Amino acid sequence: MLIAIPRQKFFEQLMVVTKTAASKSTIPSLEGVYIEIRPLAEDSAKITATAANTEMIITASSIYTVSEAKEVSAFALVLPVKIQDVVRRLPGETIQLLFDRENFAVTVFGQGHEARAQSEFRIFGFDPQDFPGTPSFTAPDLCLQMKSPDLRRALRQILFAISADESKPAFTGVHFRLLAEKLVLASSDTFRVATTSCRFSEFSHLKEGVGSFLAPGRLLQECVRTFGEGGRFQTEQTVTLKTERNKLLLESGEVMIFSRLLDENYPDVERVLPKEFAGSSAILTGELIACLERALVLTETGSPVLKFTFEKDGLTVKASSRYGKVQDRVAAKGEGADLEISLNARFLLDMLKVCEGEEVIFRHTGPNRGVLLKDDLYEEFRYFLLPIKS
Amino acid sequence: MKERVILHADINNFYASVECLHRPEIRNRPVVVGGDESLRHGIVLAKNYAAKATGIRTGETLWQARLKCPGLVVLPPNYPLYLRYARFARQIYADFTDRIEPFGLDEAWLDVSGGDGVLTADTIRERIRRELGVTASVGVSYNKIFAKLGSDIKKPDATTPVSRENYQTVAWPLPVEELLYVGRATRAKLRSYSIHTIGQLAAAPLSFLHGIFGKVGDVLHAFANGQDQSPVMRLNEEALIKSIGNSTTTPRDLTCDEEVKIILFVLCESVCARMREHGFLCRTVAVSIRDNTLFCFERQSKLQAPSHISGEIAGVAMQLFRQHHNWLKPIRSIGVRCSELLPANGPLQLTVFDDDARDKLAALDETVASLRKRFGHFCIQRASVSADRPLGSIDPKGDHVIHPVGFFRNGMLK
Repeated sequence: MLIAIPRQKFFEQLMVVTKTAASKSTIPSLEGVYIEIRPLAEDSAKITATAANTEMIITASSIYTVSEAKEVSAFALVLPVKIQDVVRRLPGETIQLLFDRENFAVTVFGQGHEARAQSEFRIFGFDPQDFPGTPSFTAPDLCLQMKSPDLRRALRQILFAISADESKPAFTGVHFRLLAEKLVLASSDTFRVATTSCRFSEFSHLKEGVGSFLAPGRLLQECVRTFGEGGRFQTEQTVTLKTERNKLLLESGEVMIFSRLLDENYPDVERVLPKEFAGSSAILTGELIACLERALVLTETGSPVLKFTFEKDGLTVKASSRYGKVQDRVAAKGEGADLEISLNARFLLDMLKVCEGEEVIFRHTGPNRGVLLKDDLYEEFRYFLLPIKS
Repeated sequence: MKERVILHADINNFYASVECLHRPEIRNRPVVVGGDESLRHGIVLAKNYAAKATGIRTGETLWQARLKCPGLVVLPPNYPLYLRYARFARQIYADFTDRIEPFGLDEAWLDVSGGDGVLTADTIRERIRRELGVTASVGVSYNKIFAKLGSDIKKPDATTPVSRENYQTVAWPLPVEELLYVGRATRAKLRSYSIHTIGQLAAAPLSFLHGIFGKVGDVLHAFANGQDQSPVMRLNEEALIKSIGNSTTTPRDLTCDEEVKIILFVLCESVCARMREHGFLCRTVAVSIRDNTLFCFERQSKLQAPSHISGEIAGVAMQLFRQHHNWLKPIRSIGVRCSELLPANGPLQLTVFDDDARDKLAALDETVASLRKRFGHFCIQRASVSADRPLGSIDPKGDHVIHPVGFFRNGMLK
């Protein structure tokens, strides 16, 4: 079987999935990409690429206009992830794939500008029967549709605050809670809490009582990478989210991401966020980022602690270490009480770097108590950061 | 650089000498200080010269000692008293130098560079004898290792110089196990290569020793050749502490998780109380287990947050134990060690969800510590600990022995 397809499109399709392929697995085919070809008409075929690891499965499919085809029929095989690099480096706009059905191998040809310049790769694959199938969502408990830029924005606002510590599994996930017309997202690594929300357009609640769930952070990072603007593969502007018992599916256009939901208790985030404040301070985001990065130069590696003094007309940031001392002041519009507090500047920068508004607003409750930060563009985005007690 | 002058002072038969000083009636009889046999700590910790003459050795069991020497006086250890004398001795040393590095209770290195080593050593010996009523042996050398060797050569009440001129005749003929860090295992290995004396060790090629022992081989080579460069630390207790641990040989062999839990709680309370006294939090907890065949192992685990809360640390210790012990053999001894210490009053990242509960636990530990200080260790006990009286009735903190601080703690092996 031979088909000829556009090289760039196939490369981008592979890009969506290859990162997910397990880097080391006892099942060799899990380290590869599952490729399925199904002929649709004389000159078109659907190619589906799937990669899986122990946490998630991602699949991207696309319909190709086939410029050359011989003996095309449905066929599947697992190829090593190196196929991506091969496709990337081949010469020419169109590549030919010649499949060897008996040996699960493929020969890839690229044609250079000159007639005699040609590349030929023969790549050994695996029998696809060991590859896990994609789970089916026949009776979802919950089905939501969201605008993909909106979901991406919401995920970006909270994903930085998840924990990487596997000993606290609940905090490696993002908590989703369904309210009347929005989906509230929350993340925490116990030192800070980030929460925001995302609107949804269509909603069906097929099973009563499914109002919240906990999704693995790794999976959602993949969503940000893949869906919507900035995503590598052309997908639709909407994302569909489905849950069924302990499974989760995120789908946008021809990309589907499957995962298991985390079965852990998540604390009530709303309860810990302060409601009353002693003072507040509004600072230009860009200025603050620059100020923090300057002050961080003099902190010890691994201890990015800065001392903040919030006053009516400005914020002073101080650091001292064996290298020296720094004092950096930025303009601020302060209200209420002044405050002196030590904070982890890396934790602050994590949040500031996803702020899109002009200003960031600090609201504080007192020394040695948490501060609540807001981006002035998004009312729903709140970041609660606990200080460093000194 | 000018040659260093380093003394190593070793108070002779420290525990036994202090006991004899306080009990004139037994001075001329064979005396040993030994642990409590009813709690299975019945070994000889120290002996006087009369006991030594009968062939009693440190570390052997009290019943063996009694066989060798009928009429032996066995005394229980009185650590607060020994500690007092150790402090007196350090006060004397402090009159000569500020660079004093204690090694256990009864030994210390002194850096007296610039002075006359032998003269200073004699003066120190004289003062210890006159002011404390005990005797000391002092080694004088240009490095710590040979100074320690020197103090072991002539006992009691003697000064032994080991200089660059004479070390080949004084130090090299000594058996290799006299060298610091040559223990039983290393000695056996060296013997299998026919290395019996320090001189033979010094003559062994560096590459050969490195091949057998790795980095330790380099160190042994340097030690045997008097090339030890390690400085005498200044007397500064806080900086010395790298980990705080506690182990105990249990009054009876342990056979189930419940019994282990009691001992772990007792040990963790002691370790946490000590961390609190020194103002530390720890990041890592290690549990060591020795079974009745004396096979032992240690496993460690990182804490989620730095802690000195006994309940938390005991929880982690118990989890470690459950993970790594399979109960094929009963357990004879258990230890808990907390390391990666950081100051408790240093900066601490607060957390969102669980601080209140932890604050309460910390306050509880604090309260228990103050009650115990006022009314004694056994005035308050965990219910689980008091469930088994014999096991629960050990007070590792009160009974504890101060062990020499490791020679390598300043990271020379890193």
